[in-house]
Amino acid sequence: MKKTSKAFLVLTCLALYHSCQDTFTQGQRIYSTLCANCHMDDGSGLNDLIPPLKGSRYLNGEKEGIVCIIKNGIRADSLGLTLKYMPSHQKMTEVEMTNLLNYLSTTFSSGKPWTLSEIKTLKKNCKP
Amino acid sequence: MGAMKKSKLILGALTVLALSCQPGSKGDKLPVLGNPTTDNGVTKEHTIRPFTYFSQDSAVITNDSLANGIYIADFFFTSCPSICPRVMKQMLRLHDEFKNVNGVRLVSFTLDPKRDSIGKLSVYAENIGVKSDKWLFLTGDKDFTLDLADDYFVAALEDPSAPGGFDHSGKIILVDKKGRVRSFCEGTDPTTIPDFIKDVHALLNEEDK
Repeated sequence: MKKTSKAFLVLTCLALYHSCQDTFTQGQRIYSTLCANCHMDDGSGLNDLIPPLKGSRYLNGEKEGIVCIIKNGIRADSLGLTLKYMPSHQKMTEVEMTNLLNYLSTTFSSGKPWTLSEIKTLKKNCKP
Repeated sequence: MGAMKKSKLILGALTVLALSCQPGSKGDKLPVLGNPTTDNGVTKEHTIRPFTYFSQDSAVITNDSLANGIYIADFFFTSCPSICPRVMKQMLRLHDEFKNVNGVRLVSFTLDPKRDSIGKLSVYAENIGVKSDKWLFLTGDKDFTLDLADDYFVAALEDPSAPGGFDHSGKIILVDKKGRVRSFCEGTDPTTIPDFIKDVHALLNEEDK
C-alpha cells in the first residue's frame, strides 16, 4: 500500500472516531443540561414522580413514543392523580435528538442505535 | 517493655483516639449552630421560631408537634424545575436510611403555597412513595416561610426571573428536640450525605442520654 493511501486510511479512521466522540459528547451535554436535574445523573429518576431512564422500555424501542415525549413533553394529569410532568423541547433539532437518544440508549439501556432518518419519521408522526 | 510492644501500644491508643473523634460516635456532641442572643443579661441559643402549618393530610403541624423527636428539614416547591428533584432524591435517601428508626422525621416546607395546596402535596408525597408519619410536606403562609427559612440558614426568596419563581438553596438541615439547628448538608451534593447521616446518629445518641 502506498504511503499516501495509508495516511488517508489513518486520517479517515481518526475522523470517524472523532465524529462518534462528538455525537456522543453532544448527547451527554444535552442530557446534563436539559434532563439530569430531574432524571438524575445516573438516570434513576425519583420513584413514581420522575420515571427512571435506567432500563426504560422506551429506550430500547419496546415502547413507542419517546420521540414525541421529548418533543411535546408530558402535561400534568388533569385529574390530579399524579404530578408527572415534563417540559416540551420543540426547538430540539432532529440531529440533537438522535445524539441524545443514542447517549441515553448506550448509557441507560441495551444500546439500541437510533438513526437520524428514524427520528425524522417518528417526529413527523407526533401529534402536535 | 520492648520497643515493638511500646510502638504497638502507642498505635492502639492513637487508633482509639482517632475513632473517638469520628462524628456519630457515642459521647460526641454536635455543635449548636447560629449566634446566641442576649436579652436582659440572659443568653439564648439560636432556635427555630414558633410556626403553624398544614401537612399533606390536612393536619395542623406546629413546632411543638415536632418536639417529640429530631427532624430533617428542607425547603422546596413541587413545580421547581431546578435543584428540587436532586435535593428530594437525597431527602428520599435519608428517609430510606431512617424509615425504621423512631424519633427521626423529615419535614419539607413548600415555598409556593399558592400552587402547592394540601391536595397537591398529598399527591406529591404519594408519588414519591412516603407516608406522613415519617415525612411531612407542609404548606402555610408564603412570606412567613421565606422568613422561617432564615432560621434554618436556608437562603430563599421570591424572584420572578428565577426558574419557577423562587430562588433557594438546597441545604438539608438537622434540628433537635429543642428546635436548635445541629447540622446541615448540601442536598445537591450526594457526597455530603454520609457525614450528615453520622450526625443524625450522633444527635440520636445525644437525645437518648
